[in-house]
Amino acid sequence: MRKRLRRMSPILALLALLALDGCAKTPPNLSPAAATAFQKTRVIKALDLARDFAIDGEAQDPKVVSTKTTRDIVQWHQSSLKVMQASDSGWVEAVGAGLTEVVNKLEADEKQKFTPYVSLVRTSLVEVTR
Amino acid sequence: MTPLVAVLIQQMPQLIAFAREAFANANPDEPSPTDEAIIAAYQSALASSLARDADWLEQHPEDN
Repeated sequence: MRKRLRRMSPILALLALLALDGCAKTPPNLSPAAATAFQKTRVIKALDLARDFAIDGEAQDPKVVSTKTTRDIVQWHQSSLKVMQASDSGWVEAVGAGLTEVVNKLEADEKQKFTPYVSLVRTSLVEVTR
Repeated sequence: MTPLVAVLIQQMPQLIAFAREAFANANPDEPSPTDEAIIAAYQSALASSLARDADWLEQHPEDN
């Protein structure tokens, strides 16, 4: 199960990336507030994938992701969402900076496990700024 | 030019309009999402996502 989860994670992240990319365009009929909500929803989905991978990996026996790393990821995820909830400007930069910070905290082997999810979040943030 | 070809050329705009309408009827566009639907989806995604964070953090207090 552990090996399968590890093997599947980049594939799942790639599929998620393609799925997100497939609906990348913000519908043109939306007001600025709704367009921002649309973009934030897309980023939340990407953030959720990283957080869910951590939580699901931590729940495995033996653990694929340590409890400490999972706590760091969950706390980063929670902070990111709160920043997005609090502000309509500057949140992309804040979420990106938080991501860099949490990735720097990870051990090398765990950093590798999260690479596809980190790329996915960064891609979703870049899409917002296009 | 045969009379049939002449009629076809003359009626070309109507033929194109008919073909477009038939294609549109066979492949209706998805309705554009409304502002309200998008904002509701965002708020729902935000709330459920924050709830999962809170649940996990509650079940895994830092001193464990």
